[in-house]
Amino acid sequence: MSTTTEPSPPLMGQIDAWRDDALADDRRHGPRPAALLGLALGVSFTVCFATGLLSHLIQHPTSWFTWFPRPAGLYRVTQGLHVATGIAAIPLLFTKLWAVFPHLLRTPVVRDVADGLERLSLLPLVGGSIFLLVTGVANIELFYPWPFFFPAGHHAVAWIVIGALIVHVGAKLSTTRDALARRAGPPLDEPIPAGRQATTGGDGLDRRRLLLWAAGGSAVLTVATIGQTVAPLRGLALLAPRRPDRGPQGFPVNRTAIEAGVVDAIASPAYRLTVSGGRAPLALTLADLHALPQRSATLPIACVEGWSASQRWTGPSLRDVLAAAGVTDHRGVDVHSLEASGRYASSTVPARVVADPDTLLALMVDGEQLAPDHGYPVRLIAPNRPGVLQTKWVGEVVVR
Amino acid sequence: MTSSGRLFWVALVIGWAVMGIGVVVMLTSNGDANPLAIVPVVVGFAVVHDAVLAPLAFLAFWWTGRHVPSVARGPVRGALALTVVLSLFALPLVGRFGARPTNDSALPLDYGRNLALLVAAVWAAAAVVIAIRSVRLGAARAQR
Repeated sequence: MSTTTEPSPPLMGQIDAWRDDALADDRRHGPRPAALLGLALGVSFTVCFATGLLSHLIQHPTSWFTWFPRPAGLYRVTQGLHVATGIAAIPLLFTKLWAVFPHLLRTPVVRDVADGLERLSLLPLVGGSIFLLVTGVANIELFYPWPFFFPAGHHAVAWIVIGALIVHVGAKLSTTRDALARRAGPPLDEPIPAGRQATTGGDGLDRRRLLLWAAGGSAVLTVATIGQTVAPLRGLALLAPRRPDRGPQGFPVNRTAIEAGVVDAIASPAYRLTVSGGRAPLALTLADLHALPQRSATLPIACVEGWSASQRWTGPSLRDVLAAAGVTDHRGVDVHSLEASGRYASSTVPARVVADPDTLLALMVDGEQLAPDHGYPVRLIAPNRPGVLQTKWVGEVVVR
Repeated sequence: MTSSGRLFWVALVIGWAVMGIGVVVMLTSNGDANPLAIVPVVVGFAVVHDAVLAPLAFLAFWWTGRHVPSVARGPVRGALALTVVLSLFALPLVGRFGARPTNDSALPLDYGRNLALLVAAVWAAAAVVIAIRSVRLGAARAQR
């Protein structure tokens, strides 16, 4: 090279060098880091998809899906896993994107029809994956800077990402299998270009150490948040949007009485719990509800946002209230809040959940009258249900 | 055609069909998941990653390659990347974007302080790794 030749812009040259190093590294050792990261991401996204779909089906029942009230804490585990796995996937995804980014810069951009279709499928895969993680994190942090309803958007894009992931797995399965089968890299058959290691700092965060970083990053984020559902670790939950021990009566609230606009209605002496749809409508005062046989059960509030907290609830069983109203045969009930409107102002309790004796119309929590923010005068609490279906400020039970 | 080739085409058909379910979910959501609102965000995230985040990450990679001694380069890069991830995760918490005036149980912690603690712990860990590497490097040089 002549010393008088105009040198290429240093930074662009560095990008080319970095891309060539990375691609050569893949050829020398096989794309093992990217393959391992891909495997970890595949597992974590599948867990997120399965647990997310489960949560969707529980909240939007279909004829072919049945969800049982036992074990009482199962939803707490599946939804806690959904959020925790999504959080742990953040460093995995960005490390994976870093590891494979040199391939985006390769030439030719598209090799053939199959390659073009595979690369086209990367757009929904990459954009959708980032979308799911960003909107999921923003949702648990109660931040909604977008013009769509979070659960609906998150659900729709989850299908798109899983579809794009299937295409990606189909394209990369044999490469991944080969890469993972290789314990160590083969002998270097391609020399490292002289001077390259000095340009981008070869002794730095090399591609093999990426795995260590991704695992460490996932561990830090998990430890900083998992205490929102695993109570013994709450002291470490420095970045948890909720703490299971913070809130009125020692546990969190999602929607307060003021936010729901029920402050006057719940304080009214005219309050009655009405049961309709049976042989004859029944209106129960708070004293009537206290006069029914009282049952206590330790059940979690398990929020879709991934936090959960277990409390001891006391009140009449829903089935005893229905019996008092003369209801013997039903297909479940709809429980309506005193809230005038709102997506979660009512919920459906299927017959098999009504039949569970621990499905309560709770009047007390941990030996105290319910706080207004926890649903005073009456809240529904049933085993193995998302928190959004544990209707607060119950005013009416309608037999189906 | 190889078996992996056949596998790819089968996966392509199944995968795009599954993506189609996502489109149907959007179109039947009564506006809750309006595709006109969602698709630009999905594409936008891919573009922001490829056109902004990845180049910025490369710039940091390149700069640390030039200015950070090799013994410290890996830990510094790792700590820098983790600082960015933790900060982005914590930004809405620290800014209290989702705070509710009548709900003390939502975002109940001092997230600015907590983020600082975590970042300090990350850099302390990086410092320990650098110290261990330096000592090992010194010992190796002394043996030569």
